[in-house]
Amino acid sequence: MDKDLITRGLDRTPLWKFALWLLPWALLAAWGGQTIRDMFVQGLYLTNMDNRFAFGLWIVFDLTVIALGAGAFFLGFLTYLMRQKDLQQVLNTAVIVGFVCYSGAILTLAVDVGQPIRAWFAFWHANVHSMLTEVSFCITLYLMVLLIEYVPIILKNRKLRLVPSFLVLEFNLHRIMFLFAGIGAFLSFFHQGSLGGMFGVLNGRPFAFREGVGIWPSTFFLFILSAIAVGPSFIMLIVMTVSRVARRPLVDRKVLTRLGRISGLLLSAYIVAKLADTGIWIFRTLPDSGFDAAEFYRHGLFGIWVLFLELTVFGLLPATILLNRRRRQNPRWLVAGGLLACLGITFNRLVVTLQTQSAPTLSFDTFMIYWPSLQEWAVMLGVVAYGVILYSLSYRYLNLFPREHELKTSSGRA
Amino acid sequence: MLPTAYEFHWDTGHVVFLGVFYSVVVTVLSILVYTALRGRGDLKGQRTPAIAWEETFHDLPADRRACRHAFDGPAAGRVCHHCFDCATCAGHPEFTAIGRSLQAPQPPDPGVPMPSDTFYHRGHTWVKPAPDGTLTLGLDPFAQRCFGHPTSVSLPAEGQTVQSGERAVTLHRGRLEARLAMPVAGEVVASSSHDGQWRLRVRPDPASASLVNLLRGNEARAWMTREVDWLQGRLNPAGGHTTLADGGVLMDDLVAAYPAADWDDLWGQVSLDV
Repeated sequence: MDKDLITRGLDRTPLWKFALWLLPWALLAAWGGQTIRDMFVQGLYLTNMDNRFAFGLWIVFDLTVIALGAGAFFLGFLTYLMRQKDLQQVLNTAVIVGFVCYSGAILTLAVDVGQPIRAWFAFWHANVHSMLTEVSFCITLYLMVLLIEYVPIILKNRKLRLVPSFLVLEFNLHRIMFLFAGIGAFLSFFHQGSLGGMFGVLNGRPFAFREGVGIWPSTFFLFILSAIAVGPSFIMLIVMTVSRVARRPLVDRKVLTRLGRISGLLLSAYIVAKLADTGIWIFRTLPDSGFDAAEFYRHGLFGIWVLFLELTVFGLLPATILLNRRRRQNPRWLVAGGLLACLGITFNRLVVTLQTQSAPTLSFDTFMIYWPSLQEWAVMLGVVAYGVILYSLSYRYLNLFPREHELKTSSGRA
Repeated sequence: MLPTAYEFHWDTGHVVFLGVFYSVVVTVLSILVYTALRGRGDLKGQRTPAIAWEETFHDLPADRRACRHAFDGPAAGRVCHHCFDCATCAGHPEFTAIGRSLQAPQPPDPGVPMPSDTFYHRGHTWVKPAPDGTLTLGLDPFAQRCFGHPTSVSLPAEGQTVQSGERAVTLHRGRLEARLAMPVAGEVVASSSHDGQWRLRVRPDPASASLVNLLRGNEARAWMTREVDWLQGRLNPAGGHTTLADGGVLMDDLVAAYPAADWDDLWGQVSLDV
């Protein structure tokens, strides 16, 4: 039964080994699920969030996975609208990773909101002044688009495609996928931006507040740029990891280096924009409001090293590695560059979320620190486990890599 | 609900933002409805076999989709993007004319019998026209050696209409399954199966009676030689290309002779059903 579901000609590990692989993730997901239940029953007091720290680990996690999941819309945009056909080799993975990231983020948000049964209020009683309304609308719609993009991949399963109605649905969906790629790019562009804009408009939080263009603060554009810069790197890392675990090539090597190059170029653009933004913030925005930038980096945990690390180790360094053609040809350097870029986005989202709230805003305020509770970690890890399980099942039973079979036979295995 | 939400105003910002949002919702839903209607039309219009063939075709590895003019003709390395439907290929007449003028040498003997009055489909079925206008269909000798002795054969019933590319014949051998694509469209007027060997007699559909997509003569022999080379490469434990002197012929029942090979995959590749 299990073998009948696996695409013809693809080698997959025996079922018992696969089950063993899934077991720890299932346990982690179960722990997360149990904690989510507790959270719904007992409330948010189980977290370490409070009136000062309304955004905690879950928002950092959401912002990070949504940025990492940007590969889905960006690679869809490049493949279908910019006709970069070689990227088709990683598009299925990008869609599934995007779906995992967005569905995981929405699940975490549902817990964070505290009353998920009232989640529909965001649409019915929308706060027309809030950036979060735009985020809620766009993320929900984009998840719908991702689901529509995921369905044809599922329906191409060896057994499912034998059902005529599934086959016809898959065929027709696939023909119009370029439209969804366009819609996905449009939605993602706005919600990635709105997530950044959400911080940039906080004029009561000088650490986050930024000037901008029209109603959009500079963080709107920085979030978009950073997300599309690391999205391809994240997909590259996942493909390389799966390839390593499965011990077989899954895509052409040039596709991976291409993803690295795209990341390198966009990361360079992001670093330039980030430097300009930081300069304007330090030398114009803050002085105009009566602040000195050094004030925000005087506290132990968030010293000046934060800015340094973000701009150099997680910015300039990966950009330099990924832009260098010779380095890109070396898998170790490619992984190092991609990994630093992804760690960089995580670090950036963490700083934007937590340092913004830690820094005092009133004269009698003090610098405060927030540490997530065990339950917050449990929910986050549970969502990560859900992602690993969904991707593992997809890799086993769906044909994620169109070139896998050809690469296998050309490497000499009958 | 919007636009009755608290503090909603009919100003440009709110109208544009909400207008864009609801436009996207309407667009997504419209596309889905359109897709569903198209799908229903395809199911009602009996287009499923053609869709299945097209879907499978584009999933085939490039070497299984080689253009017929790449075998011994002027288009070496060319890959077909027309589901082997040469009537829809703009390059086919031109390549045919060039091929004729080139007068390609006689292809080597593929090592399996290939009568010159028989047409071959790339999914390893053959077609032989009969004087009464019907066509006889069967499994070519290459596939017979690959499939060996199937334990069961499922054939379309007499009177049933089959479409070109439809997977109307299914062979089983243990867990292995091969679904064979029909080389022509028409009505099945007779069928027989004995010891895993099968024949169909089909009255061709006048609307699609052309055999232009099928191979014959030198072109078919060149293709079959290529298929034998391909199979040798796949069965060779070293992979890639033939490592021993050529000249042998395919033995009967390769499944029994090479039990370690991935026959599930090979049956799929031979029948162009991945």
